[in-house]
Amino acid sequence: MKRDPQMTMTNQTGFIMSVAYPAVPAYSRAKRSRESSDRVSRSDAEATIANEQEIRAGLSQHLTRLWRYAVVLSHQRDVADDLVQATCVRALERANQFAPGTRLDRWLFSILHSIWLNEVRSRRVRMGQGFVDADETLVFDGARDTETHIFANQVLHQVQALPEAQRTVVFLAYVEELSYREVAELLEIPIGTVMSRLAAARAKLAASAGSDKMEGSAS
Amino acid sequence: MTDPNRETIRSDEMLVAFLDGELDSNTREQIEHLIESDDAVAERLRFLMSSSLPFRDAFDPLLDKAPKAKLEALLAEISPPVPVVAEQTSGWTRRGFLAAAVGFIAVGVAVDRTFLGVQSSLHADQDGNDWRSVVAQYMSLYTSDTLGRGPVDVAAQTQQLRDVGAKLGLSLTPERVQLPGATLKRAQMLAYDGNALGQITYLDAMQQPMALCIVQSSKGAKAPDSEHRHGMNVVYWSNDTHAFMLIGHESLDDIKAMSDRLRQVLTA
Repeated sequence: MKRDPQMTMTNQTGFIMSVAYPAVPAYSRAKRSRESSDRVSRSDAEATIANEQEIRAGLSQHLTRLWRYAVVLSHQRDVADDLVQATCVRALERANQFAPGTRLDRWLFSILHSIWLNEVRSRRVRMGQGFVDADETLVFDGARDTETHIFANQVLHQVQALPEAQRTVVFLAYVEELSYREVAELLEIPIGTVMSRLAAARAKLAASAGSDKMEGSAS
Repeated sequence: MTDPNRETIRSDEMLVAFLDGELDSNTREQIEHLIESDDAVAERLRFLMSSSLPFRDAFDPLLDKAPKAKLEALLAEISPPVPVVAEQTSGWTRRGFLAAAVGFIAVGVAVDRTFLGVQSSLHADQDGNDWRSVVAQYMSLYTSDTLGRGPVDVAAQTQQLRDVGAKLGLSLTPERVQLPGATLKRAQMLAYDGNALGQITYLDAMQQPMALCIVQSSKGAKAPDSEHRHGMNVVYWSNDTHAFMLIGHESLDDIKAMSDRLRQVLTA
């Protein structure tokens, strides 16, 4: 029973999406640049430089989260390294396009996603490299000690085995804990599409999880 | 006529949004009512609920797996903005330059591991004239500010040189690439035409930027030669595995003397 996401949307006017996150800058200034940026008067160029320093500090703070997202997208660590690097270059280049007061991490995630979509992924497909199975590349060893870890690892693999469009929304909504609206904005897709992808992903995960184990664990 | 909402409200999309707390109170109440009155909906909700897995816990270990130090180094290697104002002569805007840098990386991402080994020689013109031209153009954008005046961080330099050396298949250390009268600033990877290009930057005695650039090249050994580009002196040479160029504002004699030293050390 497939439903048209657009239908869902038009039928659900009056639907208010909760905004779960306050719009505070996500980056601290603790790591701000080595040189002092307390300049009294700033020319445009100086303002740009100051902004780049803030972006740099924010990048530094979010590197591991960006890398994790890149792994979720690409399934490959080395591609993830490169993706994060390209994201840093692009973000610094566009430092003056970042709107102060908005979430820097969201902005960085959207840059990474668009580089993945428009540059890396399409090139890899054209080059006929294709993609490797999640299980093949995601050898995240360790974490074998306890049952919790084994289970966590299973969840990781199940999500990573989802089609890209679905695992992306699952990751952003449930791991990064973005609201539907934030996911939609980051991926530049309608909220209805976010909803239908999540629904499809969860139906798939539910089917493989087996209801016995998970009863009542929703929160 | 049936109410279109009747079907929509019991869709997986709505039930999942209900579980995710994404519905307004009105819609939520409708669904709560449905769960109580309709067993099929309650059953479906229970089924979907079983996919409420500990996603955060599952993905948190990935954060620890991230190569944090390497990523930090990659970030640190990205040059600070090149001041646009005083450097209009080259005709390259900073924006254009950075766009090109992004392009290099994107190409590098795609091509790097597959083609680099195969295509170790540069497909520029015969004597690799093209890459020197690009490097010279690039270097003409540098000012002493680009390279910073802060204290020298030897540990960081050692790591940068090791990374660059690893990419190029050379053993690089601060001692080996140190040049008399010049201050070693940093080492980073760039790319030219999909080929890895190592750049080691210095400030010379006059606090002018200077750089040693290295690419892999199988065109064979070539004795040092010199040229003048973008107001800088260039000495370039190659051995069986690599092509080198030293570019800076110092006199040609000085650049030659320094390149002699590098040539000895880096062939050894």
